Amino acid sequence: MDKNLHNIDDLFSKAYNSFEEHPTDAVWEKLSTALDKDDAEKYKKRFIGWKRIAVILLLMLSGLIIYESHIITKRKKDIAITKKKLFADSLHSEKNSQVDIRTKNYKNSLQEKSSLNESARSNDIEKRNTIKKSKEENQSSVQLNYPQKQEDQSIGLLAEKKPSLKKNEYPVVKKQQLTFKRSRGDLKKNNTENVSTIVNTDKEEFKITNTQGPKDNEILIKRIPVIPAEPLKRKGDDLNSFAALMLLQSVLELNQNLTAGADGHPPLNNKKTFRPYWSLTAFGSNDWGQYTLNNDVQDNNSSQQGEDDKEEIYSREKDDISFSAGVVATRQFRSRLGLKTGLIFSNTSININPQAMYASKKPDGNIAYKYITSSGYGFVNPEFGLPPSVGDSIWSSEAQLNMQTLSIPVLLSYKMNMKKFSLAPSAGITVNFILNTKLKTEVTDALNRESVIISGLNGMRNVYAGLMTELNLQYTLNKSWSFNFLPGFRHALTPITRNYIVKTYPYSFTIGAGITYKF
Amino acid sequence: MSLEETGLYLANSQQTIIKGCLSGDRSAQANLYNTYAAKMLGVCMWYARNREEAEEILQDGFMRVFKYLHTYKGEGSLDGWIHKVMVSAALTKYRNKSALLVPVIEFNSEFHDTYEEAKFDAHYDERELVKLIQTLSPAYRIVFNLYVFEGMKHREIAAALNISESTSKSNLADARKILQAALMSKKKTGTL
Repeated sequence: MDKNLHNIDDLFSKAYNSFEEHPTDAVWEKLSTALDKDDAEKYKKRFIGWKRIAVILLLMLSGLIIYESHIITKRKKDIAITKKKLFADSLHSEKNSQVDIRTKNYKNSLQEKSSLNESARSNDIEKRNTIKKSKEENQSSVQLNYPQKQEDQSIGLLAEKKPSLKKNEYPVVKKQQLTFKRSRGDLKKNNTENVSTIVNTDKEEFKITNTQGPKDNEILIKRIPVIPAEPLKRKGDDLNSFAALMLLQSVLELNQNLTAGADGHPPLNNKKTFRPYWSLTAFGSNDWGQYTLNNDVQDNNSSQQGEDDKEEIYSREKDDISFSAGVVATRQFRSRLGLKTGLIFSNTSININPQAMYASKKPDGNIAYKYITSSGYGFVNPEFGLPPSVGDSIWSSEAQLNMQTLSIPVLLSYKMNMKKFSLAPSAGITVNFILNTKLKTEVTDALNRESVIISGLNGMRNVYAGLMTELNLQYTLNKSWSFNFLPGFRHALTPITRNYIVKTYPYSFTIGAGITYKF
Repeated sequence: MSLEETGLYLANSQQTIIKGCLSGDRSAQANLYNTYAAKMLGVCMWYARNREEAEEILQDGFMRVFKYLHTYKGEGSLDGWIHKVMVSAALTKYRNKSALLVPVIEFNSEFHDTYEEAKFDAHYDERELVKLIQTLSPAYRIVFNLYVFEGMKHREIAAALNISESTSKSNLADARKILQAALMSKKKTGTL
């Protein structure tokens, strides 16, 4: 019987060693498709980081272009305004310089004409009276509504001089009606100090110094013997039209003075009082994480062992692309200062190289293979093979560790507004709750391979504190909505491990984007 | 070319193929597949119920080969390593399905007719023998294959299939008896 059994074994063994069968083409096609899919996944995984960086850089570039175009537009406007101002100033200074020149010339001429007699003066007076009469007939004078009415500016004023006017005497004339522009503030103040107008005669000019003369219907004028009338008188111009031009200039100066305020300084704009407000920001970000490992020699007899463990862990782990998403509420209680808080969910991925696992005693007394990571450790008991003894080893393939965290930040922000853009750096602390950790790997021996998942690692804390800083570059779309670009940095202040061979302090650089709603 | 040179040449070309496969070169992968597909399908046929299932195991096996080729350190032949991977792929189908590995009917030889001493000649067609193996239940087939073809001990078979050692032993005995009976029947009737 045994011989037969042995014989049958040999019979089948020989057949087994020599038997071959050609597969159909469909097998390779399916295999090729599966390999293509695999390659595509690997490619996606490899370049997803670069793609995300490219998108973020594109957003940054767009933001920069928008900002620069805004600056250029603003500069053009500023240049245009400056030019106008310079032109207006130059006009004014030109007139003044002309006045100065004319003053000198007139003084000279006055000296030459020092022997003006009374008859010449009386002739002037008669002339003016004639012109005045003709003006009245033409109704070319303008009604002066003193001081309440606000009409359009100018035309002219005729001053009537007393025949017995002496030098430096202030003549009084009958109050004329003159209309000019006044600011609303001035109407209320009844500010008459700056009221001035220049009245042109053929040879002299007069300035109204006070619209309130000795009597209600009188105004005071002052002779200004500085500007000769003749040079100023243009051909075809009548007294009124020239006076109107000068009056216009005075009116403009008046307006300038009035708007400047009594002390000549520009009036303060009505400052808009700041109203505190809330805003809500929803964002997503890409994280590039790392961690700092410090030795915790609690479980080790020698520091060298601890150093070795630290180096070993550090060398076989590599952070994969991680992400965060969350909602942050900001209370802007000052125009620049704000307080932020919210909820941020993060998923951190770490790739771990293949490693040997050694069997050791679990807390419950059983023996299993121990898997060590930077964030803690777990136990694996594969279904194949015999139960392990302490010291037995098994090989694990490449693993992935995923850690999910919920953070509650409390940050103080300082906002700087630049028209449509604003920059708000913020800093503060976070409280981080580790929600879930999951390790996926495969354990293998000569013949067997098994996928294992370790949920929850030992030696890991549930909560840890961290530091968070952020730079919020915000572009205002409208009154309520804004777009945000959010580069940031986070660092753990307390380790995420406890009673473990290493103290692990994770940190990450984040780049995110989001939208804000203000209410 | 001497045998040594031939061996060296083959080793170098094999290294080139392995490197190509590791870098994801599809032509190198096709080359590797074409080199070992026929033989490996033959292996899979012994473990599967039929040809379709065998091709599925072959496909799964080669996916594992390409995925874990980087773990092949050069210890032993590549042929042997791929063979192990195929067997592992075949076992994956039945691992943890212990119901399939426990025989439904316990074969009791006491009630079986005694048969004359048999001599099994080697003139049986390989395909016929494969078909014979495929008629066995998974429980008998896998244990028989692992014991006879892979040279594993009952203790190792039990650990690999997550069954008891005694189950492994009884499955093997029963498998042999069934095969023996079938071969005897063929001898008499000329058919399987």
